[in-house]
Amino acid sequence: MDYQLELTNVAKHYRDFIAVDNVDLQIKKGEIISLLGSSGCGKTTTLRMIAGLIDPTRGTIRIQGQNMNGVPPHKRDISMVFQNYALFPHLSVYENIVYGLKMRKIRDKKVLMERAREMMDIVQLSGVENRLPRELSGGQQQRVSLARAMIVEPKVMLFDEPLSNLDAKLRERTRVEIRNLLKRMNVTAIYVTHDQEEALTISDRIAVMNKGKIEQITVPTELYTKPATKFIAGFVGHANFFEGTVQHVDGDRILVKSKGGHLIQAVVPGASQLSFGKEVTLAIRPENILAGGAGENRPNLVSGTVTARIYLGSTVRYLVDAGEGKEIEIDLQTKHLVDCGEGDTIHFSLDENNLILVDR
Amino acid sequence: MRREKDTWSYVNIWYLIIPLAYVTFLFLIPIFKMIYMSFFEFQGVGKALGVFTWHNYARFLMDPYYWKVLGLTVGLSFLSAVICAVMGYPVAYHLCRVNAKAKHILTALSILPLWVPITVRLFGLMSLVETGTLLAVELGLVYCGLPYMIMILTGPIGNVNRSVEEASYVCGAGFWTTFFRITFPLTIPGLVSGFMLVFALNTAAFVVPVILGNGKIITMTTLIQQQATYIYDWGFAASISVIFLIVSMIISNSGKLYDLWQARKAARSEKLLRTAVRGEGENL
Repeated sequence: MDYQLELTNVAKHYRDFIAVDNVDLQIKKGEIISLLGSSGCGKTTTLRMIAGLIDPTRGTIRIQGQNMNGVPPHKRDISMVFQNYALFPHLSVYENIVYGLKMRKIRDKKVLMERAREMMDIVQLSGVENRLPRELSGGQQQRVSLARAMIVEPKVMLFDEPLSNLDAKLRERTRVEIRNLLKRMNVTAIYVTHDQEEALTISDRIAVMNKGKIEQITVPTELYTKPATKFIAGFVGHANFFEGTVQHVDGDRILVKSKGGHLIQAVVPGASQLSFGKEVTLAIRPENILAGGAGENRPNLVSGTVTARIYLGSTVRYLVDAGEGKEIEIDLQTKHLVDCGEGDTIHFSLDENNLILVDR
Repeated sequence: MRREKDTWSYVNIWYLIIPLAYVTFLFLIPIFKMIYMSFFEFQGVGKALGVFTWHNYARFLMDPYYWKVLGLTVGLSFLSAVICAVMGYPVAYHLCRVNAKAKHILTALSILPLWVPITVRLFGLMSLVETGTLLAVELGLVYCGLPYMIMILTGPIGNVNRSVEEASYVCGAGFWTTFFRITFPLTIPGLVSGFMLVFALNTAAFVVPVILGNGKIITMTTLIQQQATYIYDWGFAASISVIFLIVSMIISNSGKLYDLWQARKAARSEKLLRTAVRGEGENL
């Protein structure tokens, strides 16, 4: 299979610090992949290695099958949208946009004008071509940088948290625009972000990075419903964890005794590989916990003391101390509110089908 | 509100008095006395001034020799500023591109010459070049101006956002294209101010032409000194000083024209930005 971009065993070490550790990644033509992770996880370093702005310590980066090791950025036929836009402050919007074309030896003024106009229509920038970057609003600057990167029809387009300097409303709107644009032009893109919502909206697949490694690559829906590790479960959305030992295995059904002494049943794929006494971590989303059920014969019934009640609009979040070490978060729809305040005892059950087995 | 304003100005008046007195007694009074003196016949040290005359000025302006001295002074310092810019730019560029520790050491090294008294430095230079030649004086001027040029240039070069250069690389521009199309144009304002500083400093250089010119290369400063301390024609010395003062003022303020031009562009930008931001608010 031919990949548009392929990273094999790529690593970057700074003396003793390992910024990026053996990253493998294959991206098909036209695919949008997000590198998601908190700051310092190595996502930006990975992106800059693909751009050629940093040399990898180890491993190979291939673009359309060609080994890019040692190839300087300007010969890689890529483009990049920067976090601070990095527009050329002394050049007009038009000059900024056609810069990449000029560097690709396109000299014909008519062609340049034509393509710039086309691009400016797409990103809705018409009418400001003679302005300097500092004469534009943040959103406009962002669109100039997008146009500048896209006009060259690069083999791979790189995004380094391009929306983090915009205000919330504009950010939400722009990320949909970016995705539509990338899909329309069939551009292969890597999108670095720390914003999970952004990653979920924009990408075809998401690679979650932690401590220099990719922990999981999967499609957005699976990332939320089937996180592979404890880190991902906690990073993408909220999650509660029950650590314990396996008591019984029956097909996909397992019985786990948690640290807090609760017996928890769960239906998890691949459970048959587990054996008695194995230490495991189960995760459950706050919204998959059902409140109530005291006295009923429900499975996975747990009780605890409410330590805080946080009103979030459509939901209310309860923090409950059930003796598991960390407080358990429970999200309840405001309309299904139970009458429970701080210090009260609350009963709840864990849906056995929504418990997820995660690596720690 | 009122009280705040009172306190504010109260403090300032007292602080201003010391420098004000300093400037008045040591700068303004002598300079006006000099200008006054330049319009009268000088009859000797300690004697009363003679009648009003234009002669001192006429003597300078009518004699091609003095024009040559003025031209030489301006020419030498202009050339030295050009050479300093050409030599200082790469040094400043590298200073801004090395890590912080190396930058401290290299900055210290580049201004090291300023720690040594100028006469000592120039005597060192005398052992290398033949004094009394234009080359020697020019060398001295460059030598003196270079640390200032480097210091001034590290500011604007350091201010060029690295990601802007990186953006140029990923757009397909190599190192030199990026340098000439992006980095260099962005540092021109700094280059102008560095140039003006070295130019102005070197037109007023005195020790360099005295030591390295060795009496054979006469610049405006040494000419004034000759007239004042050897020939004792204080009237003529004063008029040369006034002419020189005017010329230097024109030179050092010509950089301001560039600043003004930049400021006007910035003002226009501000206006456009306001409309842009307003437009964005409507789009939302």
